[in-house]
Amino acid sequence: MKMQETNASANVLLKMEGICKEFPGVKALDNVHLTVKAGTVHALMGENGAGKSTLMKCLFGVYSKDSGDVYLEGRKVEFKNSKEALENGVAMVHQELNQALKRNVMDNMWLGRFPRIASWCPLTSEKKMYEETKKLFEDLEINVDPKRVMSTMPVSQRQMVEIAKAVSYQSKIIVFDEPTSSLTEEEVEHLFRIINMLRDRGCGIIYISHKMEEILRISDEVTIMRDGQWIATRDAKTLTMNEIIKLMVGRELTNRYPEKDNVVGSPLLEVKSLTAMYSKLKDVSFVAKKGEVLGVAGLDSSGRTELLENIFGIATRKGGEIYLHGKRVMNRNARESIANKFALLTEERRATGIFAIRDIQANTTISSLRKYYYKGFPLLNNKKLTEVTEWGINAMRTKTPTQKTQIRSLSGGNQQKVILARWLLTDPEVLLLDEPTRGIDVGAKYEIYQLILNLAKEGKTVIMVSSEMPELLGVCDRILVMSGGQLAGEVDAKTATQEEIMTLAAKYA
Amino acid sequence: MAEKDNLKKIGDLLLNNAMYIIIALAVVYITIMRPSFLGIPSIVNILSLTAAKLPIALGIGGCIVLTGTDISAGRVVGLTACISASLLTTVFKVFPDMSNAAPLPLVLLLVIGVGALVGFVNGFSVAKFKLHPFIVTLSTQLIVYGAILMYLMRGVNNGQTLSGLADNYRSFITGTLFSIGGVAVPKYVLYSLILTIIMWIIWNKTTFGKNMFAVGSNEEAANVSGVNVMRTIIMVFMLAGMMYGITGFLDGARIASANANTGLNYECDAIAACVIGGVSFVGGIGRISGIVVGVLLLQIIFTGLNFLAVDANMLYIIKGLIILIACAIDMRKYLVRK
Amino acid sequence: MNTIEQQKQDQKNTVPQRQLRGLYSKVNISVKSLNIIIVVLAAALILCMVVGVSNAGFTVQFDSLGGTTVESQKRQYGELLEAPSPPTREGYSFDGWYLDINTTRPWNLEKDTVTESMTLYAGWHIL
Repeated sequence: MKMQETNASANVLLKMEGICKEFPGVKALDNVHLTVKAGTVHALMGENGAGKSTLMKCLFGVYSKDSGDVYLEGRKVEFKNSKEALENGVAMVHQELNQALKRNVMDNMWLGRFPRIASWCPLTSEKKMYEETKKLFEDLEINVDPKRVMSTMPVSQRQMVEIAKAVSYQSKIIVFDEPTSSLTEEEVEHLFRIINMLRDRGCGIIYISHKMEEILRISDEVTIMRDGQWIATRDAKTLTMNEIIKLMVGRELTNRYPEKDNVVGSPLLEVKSLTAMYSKLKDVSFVAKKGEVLGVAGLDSSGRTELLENIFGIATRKGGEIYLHGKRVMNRNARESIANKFALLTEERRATGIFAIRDIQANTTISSLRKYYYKGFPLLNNKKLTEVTEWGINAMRTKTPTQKTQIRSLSGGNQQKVILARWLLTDPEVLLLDEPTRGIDVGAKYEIYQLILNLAKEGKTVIMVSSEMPELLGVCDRILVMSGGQLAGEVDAKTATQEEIMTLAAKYA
Repeated sequence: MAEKDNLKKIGDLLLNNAMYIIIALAVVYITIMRPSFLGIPSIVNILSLTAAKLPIALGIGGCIVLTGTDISAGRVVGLTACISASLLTTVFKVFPDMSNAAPLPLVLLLVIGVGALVGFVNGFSVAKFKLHPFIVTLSTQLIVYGAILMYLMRGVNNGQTLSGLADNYRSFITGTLFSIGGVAVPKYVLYSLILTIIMWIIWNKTTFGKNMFAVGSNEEAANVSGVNVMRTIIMVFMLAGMMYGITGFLDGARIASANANTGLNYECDAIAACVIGGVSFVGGIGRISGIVVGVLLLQIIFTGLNFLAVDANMLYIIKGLIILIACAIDMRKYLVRK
Repeated sequence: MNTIEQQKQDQKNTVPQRQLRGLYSKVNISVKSLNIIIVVLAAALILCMVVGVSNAGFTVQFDSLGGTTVESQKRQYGELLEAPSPPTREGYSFDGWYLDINTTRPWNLEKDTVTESMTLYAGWHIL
């Protein structure tokens, strides 16, 4: 019995015990534990805001934990920063890549530890760097020239370099944070091959992802977190998708999409041969009806985002006309579009959506400030501001301590709800939503879908861009498919299949 | 563990408030050495000097909220002070043809207009050409300085200091508002107070104010949210320019003369005051009350050092260090691990 | 090879991402080093104040504008000046000290107190 125990603990690479972390007003981690065994892939799951990233940040010393211990191969460790972690064999492949884009691949690989010509000579050896990189790449079946400049490579290949870098540090623990979000099917396969290879070598892999199919495919064990608490650690073979969702959300989710009960009415918005000045968007025409959820599908850079930006007037049009209620609208800039009752939820929430350091109230009311003046007096009325923000929080069911909380301390889903509330306060008729559920967890996604359908029921037109096809098929009435900047076709969401959409999406690509 | 935490908290507290602690210690020392520092004349002196420097800080505060800055401020004050002093005078050296002083309100409007014009040039260049405010205002600073020198060469003045100001101008600004213990509080304290209230309303109660903070914290998002980013930036700089104009108008009468060096380095004091008062270079953060406190603290420390007869040259070094420390502390507040 | 840039980039890779924007967007520094900087700067500031206070005193210089030289005086805040012996100049008579070179603002030796370092200018009348 005792023998077995020591055996088991020898097998354990990383052990985090009783980790607690409190932010002002929020308990972000409450007594969380995580055990990663050698030669396994351990998936870490949970909704946004469940505490996965906080846990990892505590491991890498980005945050200092309030209490709890971390053991690496039975030895107690406390890393001060990710560099120290890396030197001890704990590496992370980040969701957002931080690379020296102007430098070439091998420079990035050996950053901070350039091999020298000889131990006494401070000159770096380009040759050694090249050869070792080459060897490593062959090992991992990565087909990239070590001398290629990073900025000329697609994101997926840059990510491979990042993974190779982690491997080159002889890391025992490698954390993958949403590694597949920017990869194609084929590249995902490649990534999985690498992960399997690393696992066979005896590494412990921590795999963070929202994509459940992937998790079930690749992982051996799954740890699920919710609201900063450890919920369960299970063998992946015994889990089903519904079980995971149930554990993550804490309630049964019978449907991933709410019931569609919106009624499509008469045509509201007509776009005629819209062509963009600075992007490849060309000659796009379509009609959107009242109470309709119109999906826009297509590959990355197929012009989906550009279509919305051109309608909303934050990108320059070369030609084309937009009609609302049969009347021509110009929408030359965002202000005009808002006045014409358009709203645009942008794709890059952090870059063009939120005002990170401002509070919920400021973030909610910024687009509709003029409505909150005192009667006949152009000064803002605090009471009105508070009231509408309260409405926004309640209507969206945003989870926030107070209105005065900075928006950056909320989770992605809650930030998205605040921005949605901002747009609803401008009383729009046409909502343009660009990837409204990107980076949002399952439970919050459902709520966003519900909100979208409710808006449609109120007679608003929703145009929704998404790269997740099941989502479009589940929520929309019709789906426009973009390809190479042009409209490739239109399908009925009730009858269409993913294959149909994919075929159309490849039409002009 | 708890003890370590407490130590860390105390350390944080000490570091984040290092500036206030140093100033408090200095004030205690000065009061012990020179008890008259806390006398009514000295307090009134500090308050009126604070009032004199407040408007310019209120203007620059807006530029800092936009993650910018404005280093043309001091020279604009100089130009507008010279304009005021040349028009509201008894010896018309710049305009030898004039025989009577121009009406006060007209001159006030004129200098506000001049300030707004410089502010417009600053704001327009920043908003339209996306130039860094530092470069833009550096150029306008030089241009305005050239304008001052040329202006002072006009007429028969020959570049000399303008003095001999009209009585109604001087009494309108430095006249007694009320007296405490036999010490007169000048009228410009009231004007400064009014300006502060106006600025508070603009920052907190108007769409423009909210837009300013939005642009400061995320310009792209502000644009998508329907904020007229260009107009907001231009207006912030124009508003700042108007504040400099008013400061120049007050300063001419307050100092009782104006020359090419009037207003020199005012922007340094104002920027330092803003940063001490919590208007962060991170952008989108700041309060009027913070600016008032910042100006006041800075004035207290410098009046105090003057009481101790510290050399003016040393004061420059001290001022520079204060700006550096304020910046480091400001940075620290946004760096600290959460 | 630009090693400084490399090192910076390296720091970026290993030091957690900060949310600094605005004028600080390029700043890359750890809290610890910043603490040291604050402490060092604060010490320098206090040192400057101490040095300033220990050398305290305003220097008042007298520019006799062509007359005989008058020695400068060092005074503390709020003190009166000691009346210097009047300078002399051929063909002129001395009529007192002034704050400006144009001799428009006279200095009253019995009433005016020193509040800053300054230069006083002699006023002359042609005899």
